[in-house]
Amino acid sequence: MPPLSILLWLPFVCGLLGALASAVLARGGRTNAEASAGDASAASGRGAWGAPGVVALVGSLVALGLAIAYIADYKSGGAALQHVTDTVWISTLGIHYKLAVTGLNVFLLGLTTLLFAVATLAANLRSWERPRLFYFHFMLAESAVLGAFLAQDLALFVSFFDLMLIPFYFLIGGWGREPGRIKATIKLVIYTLVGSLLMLAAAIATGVLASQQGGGHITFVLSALHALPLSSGSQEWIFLFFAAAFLVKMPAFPLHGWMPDGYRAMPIEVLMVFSGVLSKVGAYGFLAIVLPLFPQAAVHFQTLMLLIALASILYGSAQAFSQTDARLIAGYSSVAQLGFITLGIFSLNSQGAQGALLQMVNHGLVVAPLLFIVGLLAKRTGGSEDVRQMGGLAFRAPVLASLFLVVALATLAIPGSSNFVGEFLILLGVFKAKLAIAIIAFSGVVLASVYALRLFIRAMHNRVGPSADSHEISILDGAVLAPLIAVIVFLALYPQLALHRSERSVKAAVASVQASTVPAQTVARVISGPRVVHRSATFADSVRTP
Amino acid sequence: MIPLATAHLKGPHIDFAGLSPLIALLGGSVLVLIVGLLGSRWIRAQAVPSLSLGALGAALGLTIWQWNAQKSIVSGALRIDDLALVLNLVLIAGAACTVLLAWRSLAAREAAHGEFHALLLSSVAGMSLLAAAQNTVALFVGLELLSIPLYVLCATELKREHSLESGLKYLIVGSVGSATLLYGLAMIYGATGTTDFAGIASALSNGSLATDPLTLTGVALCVAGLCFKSSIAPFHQWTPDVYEGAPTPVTAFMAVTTKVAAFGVFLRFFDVALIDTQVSWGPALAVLATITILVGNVGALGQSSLKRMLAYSSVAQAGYMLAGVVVSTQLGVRATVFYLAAYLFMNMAAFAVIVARERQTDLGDSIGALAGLGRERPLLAWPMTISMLALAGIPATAGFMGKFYLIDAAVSGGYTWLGVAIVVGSMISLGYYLPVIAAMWMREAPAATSPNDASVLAPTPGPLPALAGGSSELDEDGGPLSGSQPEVLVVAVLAGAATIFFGVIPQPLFDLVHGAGSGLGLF
Amino acid sequence: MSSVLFFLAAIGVITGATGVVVLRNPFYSVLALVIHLVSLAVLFLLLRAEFVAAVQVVVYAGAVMVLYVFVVAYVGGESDSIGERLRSRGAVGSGLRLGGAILGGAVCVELLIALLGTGLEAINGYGAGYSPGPQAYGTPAYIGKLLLTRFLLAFEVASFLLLIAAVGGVVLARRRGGLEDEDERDLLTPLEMLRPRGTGTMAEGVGRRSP
Repeated sequence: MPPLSILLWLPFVCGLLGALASAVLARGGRTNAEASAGDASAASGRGAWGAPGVVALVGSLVALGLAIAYIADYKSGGAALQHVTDTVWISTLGIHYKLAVTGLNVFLLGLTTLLFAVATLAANLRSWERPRLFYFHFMLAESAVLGAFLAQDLALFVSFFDLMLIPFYFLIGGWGREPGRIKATIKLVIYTLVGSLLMLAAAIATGVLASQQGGGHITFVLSALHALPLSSGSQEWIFLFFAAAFLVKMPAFPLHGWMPDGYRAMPIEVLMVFSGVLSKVGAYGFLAIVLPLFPQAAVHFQTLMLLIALASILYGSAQAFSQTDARLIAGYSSVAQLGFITLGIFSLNSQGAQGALLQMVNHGLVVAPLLFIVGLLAKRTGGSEDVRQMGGLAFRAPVLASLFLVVALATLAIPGSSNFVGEFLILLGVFKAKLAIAIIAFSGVVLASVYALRLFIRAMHNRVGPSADSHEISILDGAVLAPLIAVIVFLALYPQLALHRSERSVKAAVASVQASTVPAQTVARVISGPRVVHRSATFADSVRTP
Repeated sequence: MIPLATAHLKGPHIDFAGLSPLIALLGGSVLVLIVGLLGSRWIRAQAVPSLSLGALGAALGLTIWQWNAQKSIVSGALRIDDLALVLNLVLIAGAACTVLLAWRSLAAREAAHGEFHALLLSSVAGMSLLAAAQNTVALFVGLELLSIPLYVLCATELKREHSLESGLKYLIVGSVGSATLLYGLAMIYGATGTTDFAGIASALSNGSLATDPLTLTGVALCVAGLCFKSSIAPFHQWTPDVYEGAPTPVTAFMAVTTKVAAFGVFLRFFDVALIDTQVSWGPALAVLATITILVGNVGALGQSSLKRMLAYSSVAQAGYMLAGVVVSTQLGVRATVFYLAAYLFMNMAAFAVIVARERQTDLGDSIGALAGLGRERPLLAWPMTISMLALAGIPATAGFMGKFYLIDAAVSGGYTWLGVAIVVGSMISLGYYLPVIAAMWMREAPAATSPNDASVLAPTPGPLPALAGGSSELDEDGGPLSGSQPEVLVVAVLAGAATIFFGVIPQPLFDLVHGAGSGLGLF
Repeated sequence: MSSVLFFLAAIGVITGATGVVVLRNPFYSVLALVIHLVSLAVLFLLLRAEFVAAVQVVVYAGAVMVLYVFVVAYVGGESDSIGERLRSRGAVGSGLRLGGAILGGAVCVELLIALLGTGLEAINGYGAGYSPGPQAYGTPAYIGKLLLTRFLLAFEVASFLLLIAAVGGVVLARRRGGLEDEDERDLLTPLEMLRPRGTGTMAEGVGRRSP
């Protein structure tokens, strides 16, 4: 297998090369380029296959191929890091450039590259103003997200986590939709960077305090930090800072203020990856960084996090049910779905965490086509994304309607879909941890079917909308949707693929928490009754004994 | 009289090698002063800046020649060590950028080129002296040599009232600061009986002198005096007015190099001479740093003048850097010096773009002058973008590494809350850095100010300069200078590139500042 | 004896300094400054710093003050100054006055605490001991020796500082007349310097360059 750096930097290099190449070409035939630029902005938006876009598409497809190869090559035998790249980046600060594939990130890599490839294809179907810059930022975003998933060094992770916001800042601010574009951009960036910067301070503190405890040279490598657990007092404030960053990114209920404006302003192709991938970085951060490094704090704040997750589920579902803007329905459904994921992670046992991991992949796979379909629907209703303007679109577009139906059913986690497996595992995990919360969370499942079906019915059936002009999906648009639907169906048939390969890593991530639950038994007993404690204690023992 | 005449007076040994960078700067200053009197207009406008670049280049070469020196020279007045040499490099780089930015500026023309550059070079010499000073007398003389030319430089755009006001304000506030510092130094001398840093340190290390009220009052007055110079809240009020009123190249010079010199003193005086009173001034400076971070960042919000915004931002950055002084560890010294170097690149890129836009549009230094820059002049927009991102502390820029290092130092020194304060400050700072980027990439250029239109059409009144202080530097014929200004572009692009380079590959800079911390004898 | 002298001089210092700030007529302010400086010289004498005392009288009370008096006499006493703003009845004036008083009081209290609370015994002494001789403390010889050995660098840099301050003063004072006309005039090109004067160039013909 080629080193991971190739997968990581390939999109960025392609974006840069595409921009440079077309800049050189444009300089060669200036008049030509100006004429075509003028044409492109004036003429039909279709078929604007410029050099930057094509190069970016090739790059993202190759990255997708590499990611599939990594999935195929993944050895599910243990929780060890695979395909490790490890060199010292900044020796003074003990920061390593360490990348690796683990059971936690291998499918998220696949998801990221798939969604970016699909979104790049979708973007190529339109013509953009300043395409060089657009694809450059788009590909930079892919590299940054991949970097956040691959990083096995805390400082490197934080760097990529902060960095990935910058291209999105430009993408939304430069190519977003007009009403409130800049305001939405600044709101989004400030919300998310506030979290990220808190995380930066917390990450540095983690490195410094751990090295002071260990007495060695400062280091940020995750495995080394794992071996030097902090005192529970430090863990707690550091945990809160990390949680702030991740919850904003997801977004979770009280911290989602940037979401409605941001979703409304983003171009749909950007929104596909933003909603599909970026929110997962937050959840991934909880699973891969917070649980192993701050286990005592995770136990300490378990109830708080579960309540936040629950609030996100209920609030997101209720909002998704009452909104009329199709994008916001998708947006609030994401809030609810990520609530489920958080719920799974903070059930602090392996079923919940595994379900959360599976659900991360599922949600990305579902929300991206949903948003793309919303974009397609908007083209059929004169640009409006209000579900009240849609309606009756299925009549002339049966293929589109069927694709939409598959996506909608997957969204509501119909039995047989992979989402069902994911939610089932999550609820199982929560059921073990906190009975009451699990019971309330069940209502979220019901609400999901309500808002998903409402969206589908309002858009596709019902009375024909006032400005609706339905036509069938084009081949190229179909080409965007097809791979996503195919993967949804594949995972529905064979969810064990993801579950099996990630099992060991998830258990390893949760194990450190469960090791630290034992001293906290008394607290847990007060909160959740004796039965659960008994179980988790035995589980912890079983993890410890081997 | 007879005993005096026959008395044998042996002068101190003078290590000319160690003094050579200083001599190059002062000699260059005299040289440009003389050349500026001779010759035609062309010689004055072109040869004088070239000569001052040459002097700076010579000083740079001599500084590098002295690398790895560890010596006290001229009977202990100066200490030539890695800290002094690294700061010298930063100072010379900053001054060279200033010379380039001032090449065609109105300020240099109005003050006469020779005098302008002579003042500039002697100010750099003062800073270099200050960074190496090892007794309080040299410290004070260096501070004055730094300040007095700067007072004049601020007022060099003589016909603009704000420039004069800026010079006067700086003169008065700066004199108050100098007097306060002098009072403090006198008290410390009174308490310890010596002017040498090493002597002060050894006097303070025995007995109860370190907690004596007289000593502590002296320390407090020194803190106040230096805070005036490095614009640390609550002694920062002059900063926005002076930065806004001064000619932009001078503002760039002040923003970067004055900080370098002032922090050089902070590091050497507080972390060497007064280290035994650290328990007293450490917490006080930590509180000052926090106040400064908050005041600077909040003050910068909503400013429409870029220079004013950068002035407040420089106040905030001074607060960040103070964290490295507070902890008084080797790590803290290194982090401060690293941040000073990063600060040079970030600010020079921003100021170069402001200078360029002041000449291209008639909007002065208002944010509006940047609107649509991303489309029109990407070569100017990218450095500004990088600079803003770096100042805000985004990864892959030198600013991120600098903040990382500072927070690292703060946490290791037991000041975790100061690290958090730095982070909170960065958050607030997004509120004013991001709108600048938004203006460049996400807004259309106002039609009237695009340079092509201005040269073709009759000069339409257009929007008046949105802010009074912006120095609109116009070309000789009065119209906006639409021609190329390669030297400004070079500064912008190089500084921007360096910001990115040291953000991705910071190790060379880390190695450079490594020695700076070791020389002071701290932990 | 020395105590009496000290208190007399101290009263002179403080009254003089207060007078500079309080008196409205600039002329009287300058005279108050003279009293202040002369009293200061007496204090220096009490500290056995004869040279500094002499310099204080000669340079400050003599030369600099004479300049001040000239300037005040030229400009006249009625130019509105920054003092007007301070004395104004508006919010700014009273705010500044109040803030200034508070800050000044705070600094004064701090200094009193420092001086009263210090454990340094020399504070209660009478300065350096008096030992006559050409090289004793405070004599010109002693100071000169220090300046040329111990503080050589500071001495040299201070001389440069004076030069550059003079240059700065010239920059600020010279250019009031306007920029362009002076800039256009060719002052001294190297070629012109080689040519003997009064040899009839066009410039001399139109009177731009007198022989």
